[in-house]
Amino acid sequence: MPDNVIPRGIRRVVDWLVLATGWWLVILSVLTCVEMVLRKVFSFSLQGIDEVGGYTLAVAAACGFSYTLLTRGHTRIDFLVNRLPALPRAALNTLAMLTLAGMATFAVLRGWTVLAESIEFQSHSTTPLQTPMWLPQSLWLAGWALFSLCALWMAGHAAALFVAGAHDAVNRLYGPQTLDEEIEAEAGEVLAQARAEVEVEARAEADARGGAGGATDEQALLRGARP
Amino acid sequence: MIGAAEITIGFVLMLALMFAGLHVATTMFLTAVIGGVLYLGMPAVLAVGNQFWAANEDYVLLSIPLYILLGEILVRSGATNRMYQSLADWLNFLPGGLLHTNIGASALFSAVSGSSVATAATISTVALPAFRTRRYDPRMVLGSIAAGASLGNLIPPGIAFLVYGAMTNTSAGRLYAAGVVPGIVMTVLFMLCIILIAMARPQLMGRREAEAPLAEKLGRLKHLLGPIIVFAVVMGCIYTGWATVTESAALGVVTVLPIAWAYGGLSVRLMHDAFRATLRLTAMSLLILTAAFYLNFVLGLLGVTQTISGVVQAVDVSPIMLLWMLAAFYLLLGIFFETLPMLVGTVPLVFPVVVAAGIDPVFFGVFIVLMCEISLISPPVGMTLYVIQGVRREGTIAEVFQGTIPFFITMIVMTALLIHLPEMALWLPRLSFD
Repeated sequence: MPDNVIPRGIRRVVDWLVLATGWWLVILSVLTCVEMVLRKVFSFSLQGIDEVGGYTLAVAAACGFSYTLLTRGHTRIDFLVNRLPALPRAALNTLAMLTLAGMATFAVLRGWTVLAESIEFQSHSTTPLQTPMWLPQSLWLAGWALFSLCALWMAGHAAALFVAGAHDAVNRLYGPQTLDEEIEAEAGEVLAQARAEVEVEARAEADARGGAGGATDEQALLRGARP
Repeated sequence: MIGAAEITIGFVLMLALMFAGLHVATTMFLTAVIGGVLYLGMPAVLAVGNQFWAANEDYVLLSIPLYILLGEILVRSGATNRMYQSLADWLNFLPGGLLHTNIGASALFSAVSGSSVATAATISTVALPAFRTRRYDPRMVLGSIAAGASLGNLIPPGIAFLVYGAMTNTSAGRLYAAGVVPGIVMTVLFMLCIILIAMARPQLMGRREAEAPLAEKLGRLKHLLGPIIVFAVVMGCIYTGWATVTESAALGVVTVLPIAWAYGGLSVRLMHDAFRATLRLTAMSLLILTAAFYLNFVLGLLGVTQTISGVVQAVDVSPIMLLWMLAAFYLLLGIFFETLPMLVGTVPLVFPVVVAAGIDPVFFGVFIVLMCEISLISPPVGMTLYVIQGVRREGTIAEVFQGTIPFFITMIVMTALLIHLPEMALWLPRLSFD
C-alpha cells in the first residue's frame, strides 16, 4: 500500500480485512459448489447460500472501499484535471476528497438509521434462514464507517495542505493516479512475473545459440526495455 | 413528472462534475441528491441508507468479485509467456504472422482478467521483445495489442455485462450468451484487418517464424488448457442452465485452484495478492454502482422514464436511426471516458430511450459494451494505449495512436454489422434460454 497520512495501524486493519474477505470468498465458493452438487445429485438443498452471498457482497464491498481509497483506486476522469495549472488542480483534488468524504459520512449516518431500525424492530429476513438483520448490517456499516473515517482523515489532510499553500503536495498525494502507479497497482506482481519469464526465455535462447557469456542482441534489447 | 430541460441540465451537471475530476461515484450521488432536494424533498435524500444497503446486498452482483478473483488467480499462476507462444504456434501461418497472436493472446487474457490495464501491460511485456528482433512495424504491433485487449468485455465472463444487467434488470446469463457471437465476429474482423494490411503493405510485416514441429506444438498446447477449461466450465454451466451466473463464478473459482496448482503457482502469497487486486477492482466498481443505483432510484421517483419515453415517441425516430445517433454520442463520450463511468453514467438516461424505441434490452447490452470497447482504444484518453506505451518505454504515444486506426475502423464496421444484423447478438440467447 502506498505511503499516506493514514496511520500504519489502520492501514494494517484494512489490509487484514481485505485478506479475510478474500478467504471468505473462497470458502463461500466451495460451499456454493457443494450445494450445487447436493441439489443436482441428491435433490437436497442447503438453504440460504444465496442469501449469505448477498450479505457477503455488501460486506466485501464495504471493506474494499477503504482499501481502494488507500490505494487511490476510486475512479476519476483525469482528462481535464491533469491539464490544469497546480493551483486549480490542487483545489479540485481537495474538493474531490471533501465530497467523497461527505458522501461516505452521509451514507454512514443514514446507514446507522437502517441498523438502528433493524435492532429496534428485531427485523429478520423473510427466508428459511431468518437472519437477524442487525448481523449483516452491522458488519456492512462497520465497513462503511472505516471508509468514512479514512476519507475524512485524508480530506482533512488535503484541505490542511491546500490552506497551507502546499499545492504540489496535494496534487501528489490526492491527484488522480499517474499511469505508472495505476499499472503497478493493477498489474504489479503479474508484470514482474511476465518480465522474469521473458528474461529466462531469452537467456535460454542465448545459451542454446552457444552465446553463453556474451550478451546477445536480444538480451541487450530486453535490458533496454526494462525500467 | 420532470421536464426534458431539467433532465438535460441534470445530465450536463453530472458530466461537468466528472470533468472537474470529482470521483465518478460522488458526481452521481451529488446529482441525485440535488435532484432529490429540489424536486422531491428530504424523504428521498434520507432514503440513502436503505438504498445503499439494497444496492450492496445483491447475490447476482456477488459474481463480480468471484469472476475477478478467478481471473486474478489464473493470470498470476499461469505462464503468460508460454501461453503466448503456444498461441503463436497455431496462428503464425496467417499473413501478418505474430500479429494475430497479439489479438488472440490479448483476447484470451482479457476474457479471464477483469482489468484491461493488467491485460495490456502483461501482453505488451511478453510480446514486445519478440517483435523487436523480428522487425515488424511497431505501429502494427502496438495497435494489435490494444485492439485485442479491448475484446475482454465482449467475450464472457466480463464485468460490463454484469453491471449493465444489474442496472437494467436484464438477465446476466442472456447477456453473456448474447456477447459470444459478436465477440467471435469482432476477433475474426481484427484478424481479417491484419491479413488485408499484410497483403497490401507487406513491408510493414516482420520476419516470419520458422514452423515448429507438430509434436512440440502439441506439447505446448497444455499452456492454453487452463483458461480454456475455466471458460468451458463457467460458460457451459450458464448456457445449459445448470447454474446461475453467480454459481458458475463460484464453480470457476473452485476450478481454477487445482489449475493454478498444476501450473505450479499456487501459494498463500499468490492468493493474498489476488485478494487485494480483487477487492480493489470490486470496490472500485461497487462504489460507482451504489451511487448509480441511488441515482436510478431518484430518477424513477422523478418520472424521468416517462418524460424520456414521451420525447422519444414525439420525435418518432426509427430504432436503426436511434442506434446510429447513440453510436455517435458514445464515440464522442468515449474520447474522454473509460468503460465503467461511461456505462454507469449513461445507462440511467439512455436505457429508457432505448426501451421506448422498442429496442431489445439484451441487444442493447451488447451494443453498449461494444461502445465501451471502442472507448478503450479511442485516443487521446484510451487508458490501454497509455499502458502499452508505459510498458514500451521508447518511441512516442503517436505511434500507438496510429497503430489503432485500422482497428478503430474495424470496430466501426462491427458497429454497423451489429446495428443492421441484431440477430448476431440475439440468436444464441434465444437458442439457450427460450
